Amino acid sequence: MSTPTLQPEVRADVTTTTEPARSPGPKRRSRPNRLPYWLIAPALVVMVLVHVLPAIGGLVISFKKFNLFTFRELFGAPWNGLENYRSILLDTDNPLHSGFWGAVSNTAVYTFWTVSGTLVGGLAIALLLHRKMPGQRVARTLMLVPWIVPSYVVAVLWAFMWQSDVGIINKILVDYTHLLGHRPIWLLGPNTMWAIVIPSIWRGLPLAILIFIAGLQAQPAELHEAAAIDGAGPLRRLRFITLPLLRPLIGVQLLFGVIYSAYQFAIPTVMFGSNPGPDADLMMTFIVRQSFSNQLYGLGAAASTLLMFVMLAWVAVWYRAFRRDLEVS
Amino acid sequence: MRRKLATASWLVALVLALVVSACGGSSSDDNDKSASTPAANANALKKGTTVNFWIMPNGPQPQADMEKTVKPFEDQTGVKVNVEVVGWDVQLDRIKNAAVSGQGPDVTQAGTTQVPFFAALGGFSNLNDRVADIGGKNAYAPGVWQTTQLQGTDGTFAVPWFTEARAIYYRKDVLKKAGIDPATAFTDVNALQQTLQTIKDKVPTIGGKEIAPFGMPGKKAFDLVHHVMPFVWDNGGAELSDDASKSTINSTEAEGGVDFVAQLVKKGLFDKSMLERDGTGVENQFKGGRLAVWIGGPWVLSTITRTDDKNWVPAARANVGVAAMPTGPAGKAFTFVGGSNLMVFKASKNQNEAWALIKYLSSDAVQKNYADLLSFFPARLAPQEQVGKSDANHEAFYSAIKQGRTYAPIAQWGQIENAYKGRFGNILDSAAGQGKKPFSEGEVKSELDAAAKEADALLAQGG
Amino acid sequence: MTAITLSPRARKRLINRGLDTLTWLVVALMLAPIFWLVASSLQNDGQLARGSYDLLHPTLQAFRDMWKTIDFERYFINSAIICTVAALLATAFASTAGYALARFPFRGAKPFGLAVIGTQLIPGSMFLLPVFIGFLWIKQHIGIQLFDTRVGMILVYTAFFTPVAIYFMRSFFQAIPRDLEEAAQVDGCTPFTAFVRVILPSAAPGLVATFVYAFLFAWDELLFVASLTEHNAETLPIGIRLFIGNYGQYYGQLMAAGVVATIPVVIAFFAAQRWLVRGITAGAVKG
Repeated sequence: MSTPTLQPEVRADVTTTTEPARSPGPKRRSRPNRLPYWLIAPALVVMVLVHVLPAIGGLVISFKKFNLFTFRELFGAPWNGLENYRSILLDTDNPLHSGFWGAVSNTAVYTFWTVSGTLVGGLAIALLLHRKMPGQRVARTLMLVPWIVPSYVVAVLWAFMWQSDVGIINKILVDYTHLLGHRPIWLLGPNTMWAIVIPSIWRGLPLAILIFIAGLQAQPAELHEAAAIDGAGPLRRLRFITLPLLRPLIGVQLLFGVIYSAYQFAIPTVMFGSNPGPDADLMMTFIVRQSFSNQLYGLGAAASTLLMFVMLAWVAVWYRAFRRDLEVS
Repeated sequence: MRRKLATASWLVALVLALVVSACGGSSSDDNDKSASTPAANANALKKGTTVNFWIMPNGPQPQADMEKTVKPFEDQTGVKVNVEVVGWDVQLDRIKNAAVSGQGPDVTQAGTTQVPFFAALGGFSNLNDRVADIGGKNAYAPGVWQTTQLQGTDGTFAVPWFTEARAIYYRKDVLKKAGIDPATAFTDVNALQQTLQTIKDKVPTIGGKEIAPFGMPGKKAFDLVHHVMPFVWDNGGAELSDDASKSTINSTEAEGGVDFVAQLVKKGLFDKSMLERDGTGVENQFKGGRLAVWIGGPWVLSTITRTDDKNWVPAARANVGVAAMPTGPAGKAFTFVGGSNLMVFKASKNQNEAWALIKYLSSDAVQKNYADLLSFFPARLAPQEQVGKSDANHEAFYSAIKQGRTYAPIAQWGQIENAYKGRFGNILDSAAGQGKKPFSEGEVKSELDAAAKEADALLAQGG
Repeated sequence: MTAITLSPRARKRLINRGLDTLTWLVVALMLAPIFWLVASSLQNDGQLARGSYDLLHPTLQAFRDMWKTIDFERYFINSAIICTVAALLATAFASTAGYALARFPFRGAKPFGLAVIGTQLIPGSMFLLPVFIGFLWIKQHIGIQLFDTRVGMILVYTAFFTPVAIYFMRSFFQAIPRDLEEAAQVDGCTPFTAFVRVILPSAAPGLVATFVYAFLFAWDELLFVASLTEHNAETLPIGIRLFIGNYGQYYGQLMAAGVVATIPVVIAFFAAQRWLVRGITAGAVKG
């Protein structure tokens, strides 16, 4: 869910002075250059201890035969080389193999729909809220509420609503509005994908709306006016002015949206338990279940590493596509 | 100089914050009070010790019920018992973490099928020397005692606590309205199916409310396998080969058993929405009057008279009947017998006090009282028989225990059960029209083949 | 039937009214689930399980019962303490690091910045077991217990949410004109003193917003607390799942617990709303 703003990289000037600045006074040249290192030290230490070291630990586990029987030895467990990776990627005899590829496919589908739904819906609603209308500020504030609701509350709420026999959604669709003739089952089978996509979009829209509104407000009104005078209708303006100007924002949301969706865990787990079923089993639920319910830690770590590499590849792809937007200003 | 202030001030802030939160914080050091040297009599209990005891939700008010049960023990020995309820969906991980990390309670409840798994982790005390104190294996039925062992070792890692078996619950009023005689309704699997069909045709509603013939939980339930396996057994199949070396869940017999349940779904005799729920969820639907027939354990019986259980509707509460599980084509009926055992953590510093608690809970009177409270069956033979003969519904369960069967006591059973659970869930979902592919015999076979493969791979781990 | 021709102005007004209505409809749809959460929390458990509602007779019974059915208090207090302290620490670390990134083009700034973003690319499942093992190791060799303690969770959360907070804080610092520091240094401050005495106070709203931002993330976190606690340090995400499945189906209490679990973050959000929004949209405004 994090969308930190991506600023163009701070250009690394080479500062070579090392004498400590003891003298007060307006000597900008002797600005101490060790200060930044002290400033980043706490954050750096904490990041290394809790991110880097454990991640390396996870990587090591992926190369070991780490399961129920070897768990006691912890890092002393026997070395397994690339066997975990081979087994999970290629070995059709390994029952985890089909589960793994199923989770990959599900995660891809989930990510695609959630991110596109959030971006398209967010843009559409932002355009609506960008208009001058009575109560605009109230509407915009109210729009933010779904984002604040904790993900586990979202999951229990929607699980409650999706129940096929007593849930409110089916009641509205079938009993009250008669839009559908029979009651669809949301919490089993292929519909489970929608059961998690829809709350995810619902929860992601406010952030997208917020960012797009800010972006729309930053666009110079004269541009739009000039285009209107030239005869461009609202759709043409959208296509040729609004969207291109919004590209950096779309880029940022795309980057973090995909990562966040690929790593989604809370919503399917709280909604379905440790096994969401073949249609909603995402990479994270698959990995956590195999690692912790089935004690197949080595395989789980291998799957985690593979997932991470896919995300690195995504960042590389994204960078090539959106590099221009980063170099603005 | 001043830039060192930067890091220094953060360190101070960090330490302050940690101290503040640690002060307000966890009280897991209660255990350490009694760490000191044992008294002259090695088995003397130290007054004022606290024994931390994990239990699972055994009934609607698990915490209160347990505290009431141990109060006499606390008064008698001066040892405090700190009861904590741990949900079934997380207890496997919790207990495993506690065993491996050495940080956990003194005593824990564990499912009978889980004991070998936990014992293999190595964090539990071998109670071989102590069990003579409570009568040893002769005080328990052989099948029950088996659940305290780990295949391939010579130890006793748990003490049986209570036993449960599954039987058929039905609504007497629904059967009456459908004109079915309860005595013949569930004698064998065909009769069961016929009964459900008749209920579907003749009693779609009762008392103005819709009611479905049958329901069973789906893959969300931790005990889905316990629901399906009896039908596999009835049909002559088995979950593993006799020597537990390979999976036989895809044998023709086993397939027949699983298919029977799937057909119930396919034929519409089964409320599909139940598959969305877990065991307790479906139990509450039966109590809420939405299911006519349900397979469950004895704990539901005691809740009939408990007014604090608000899940019952009056019509259901007044009309509960229990029948033994049906026989299969071979004429034999099997039911899943499970229950819970008690285990002592090796890392516990209060081994004597922990054992004293277990001994207390294993005394005949306490066994009977707790079992009555919850409507489980005591694990010990004498009180078990007592409870069994108390009324007709209990008799049905008692005979079920006699025809009971459980799984092989191997360490990987938990994982294998997970694998089977997922596959059974897929089969039932598919039969409900919610599978990736349309339901067919081939579908059942391929899921079971996959289940067998997973189980074989898990069995091979031990090698 | 006479054809109605609209003047262009009337047509425009009609379209506008139509879009206004559409907007409010969308807002209502977005808020509908929240409405349902609150409405259900005011119902009776048994009724909800069977799907019957009595919206005209709300009751606060669920809000009362939820504290008794499970030890909800413990989960709530744990969440409150762990998330607050971790967010404070994360903000503290992030403010110095964010300032460094905002102001000083030092060698290593680029790799550091990238590493900060890079931490967000590592899936949580890679950390879980190693951190658990790390806790065990620390207990065995140094004697400090971190597993299932608030301190342990605070350490883990601080580490996780510092990177997210760094970039957030940085944008606030970048919005402060450099003249401020230069003026302070003319007056005789060293850069660090200028930072503490002059910049931090001006960035105060940013600090608050960053705190709330980190707090929101911490309040939401589920994966780690499920694996690194077993009783004493359990938080709301664990507690709230106990209302259904095991103890029966207390749907009313589950919804009530959901409401209670949401209230703190709602309060935090609206208290810092203006600056929080500013931080989130900072990049957008610069364009």
